[in-house]
Amino acid sequence: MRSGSLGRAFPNRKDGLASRIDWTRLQEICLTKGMSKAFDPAAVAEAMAPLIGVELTTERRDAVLTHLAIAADLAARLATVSLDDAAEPAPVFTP
Amino acid sequence: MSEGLLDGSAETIAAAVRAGEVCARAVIEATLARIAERNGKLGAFTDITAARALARAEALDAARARGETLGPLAGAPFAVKNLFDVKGLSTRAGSRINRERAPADDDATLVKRLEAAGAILVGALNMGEYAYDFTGENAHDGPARNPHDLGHMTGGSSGGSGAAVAGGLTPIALGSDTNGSIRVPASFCGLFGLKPTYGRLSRAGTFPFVASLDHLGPFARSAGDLAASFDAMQGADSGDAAQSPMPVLPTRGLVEQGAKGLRIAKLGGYFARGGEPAAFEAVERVAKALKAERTVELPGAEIARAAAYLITMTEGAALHLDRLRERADDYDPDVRDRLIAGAMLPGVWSVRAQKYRRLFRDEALELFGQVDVLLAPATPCRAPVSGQKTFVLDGKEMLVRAHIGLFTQPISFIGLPVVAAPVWSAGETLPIGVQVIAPAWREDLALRVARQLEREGVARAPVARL
Repeated sequence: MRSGSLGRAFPNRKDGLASRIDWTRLQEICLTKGMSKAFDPAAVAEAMAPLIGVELTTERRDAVLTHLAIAADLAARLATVSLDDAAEPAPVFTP
Repeated sequence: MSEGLLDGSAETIAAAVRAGEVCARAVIEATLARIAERNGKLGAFTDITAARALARAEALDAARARGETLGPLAGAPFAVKNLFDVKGLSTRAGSRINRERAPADDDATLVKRLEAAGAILVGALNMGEYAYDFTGENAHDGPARNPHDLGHMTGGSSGGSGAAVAGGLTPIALGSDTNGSIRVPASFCGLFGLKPTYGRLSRAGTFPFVASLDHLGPFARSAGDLAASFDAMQGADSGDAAQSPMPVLPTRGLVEQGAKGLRIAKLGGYFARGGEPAAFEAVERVAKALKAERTVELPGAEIARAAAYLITMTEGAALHLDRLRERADDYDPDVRDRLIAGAMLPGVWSVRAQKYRRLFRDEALELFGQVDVLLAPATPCRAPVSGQKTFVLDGKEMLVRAHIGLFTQPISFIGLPVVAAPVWSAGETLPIGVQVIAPAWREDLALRVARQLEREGVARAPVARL
């Protein structure tokens, strides 16, 4: 169920943020730069460029791949946190 | 008029104008002359609003002659990062593309508020393109240069704001801070910079970058000027959908209390590694002056930085995708290629990052039950050399542009108010900043600590010798 107020998001500190992080995995990612063997920035960029409608020219290609790799590394770090199904994103629209 | 007045604070100028010791027109004429003399070296200003400023000064002098009460910043010159709307100027946001836009038909809310307090706008300032930058370099307008060493970066993206205030062109400048763009140039240029709580100051009339993380705030050479300008800019504004209905917090009267009675701790863990020794020595020096012996942890900070980075890539790309399709070659390549990569990221990463933002905030709230103020480095190093693309941190070579915000990003990720306080080591020509971090909506606490550090001589923001 959803937690109605932020103050109740952690009913006790045993359930604090530190306990939600897979520290072993995070350390592995820091050592390996988060590179999954299955992740190929070039393949992602080639596939996505037509979808977003931006040409991946030779001039742009290397830098785009570098930034994709940085993002994948950071996303892997973020994935070490376990989130409840009912976790709300931070920006909540108030009608 | 004494040249020294321009090297002092906005409050000192205002006091002199109110007392009739100097007229506002003389202050503005001297300011414009100084800009004309120094801006070629500094690359701070992209637009100078001389006619407007002189007209405003004459109006102030006339008001005083009629016996009217002048505002707390009467006659004090200020300038704004060129993503703020200034009536009659195209809001270029550091870009080539935006300068083709029609001139703004009104001023940004914060410009109006500072002018309502008597301050006088003298122009718009250089910045990194579309604020996606930590260096202060600009592919179209040239770099802003660090007044304390012209061969080094100002930091960005509010690079012109840092150069203007540290170079003695204006005592106050406004900037924006999404991931550190006030705190980084404050650190590199040796200034006090305030990033208020997310949602505190209206962003209406400014060009956005990342709606979830964008803040606006002032640079100054004293904690008092930060407080005075912050106070003048507060207040509800329906033009910013993210602005909070929190009541106004007058801080100017509180800052002289200093740090007395405050529980202050250093942030350890993530905030105590990954930088050069100078960053941590500055924190130690500040902590010693404040008798802050305790070190506390904010678990998950490196994940917070990762999440902020991903939100920035995704929201930045969403803002620019249409322009990238049509005019990619008109962007600075360093900005363009990050934006293109951002448009390729899975949406689930951004949603996950926003969920993490709430968890990390809860962790910070818990910590602020134990302490009032936290200390952390503002940047991992002093200002790099202009044009430098990579640096080595913790033994790893990294991209400068992507990693200068290592220590600022986790804090702005959850919108906490921060004053960057400038620290100088003996014999060093370049300063480095320390983040003084307070709980949400308690800018007064960070300003009080900054004032204490200023009073003790630990933090200071001198005008550079050019």
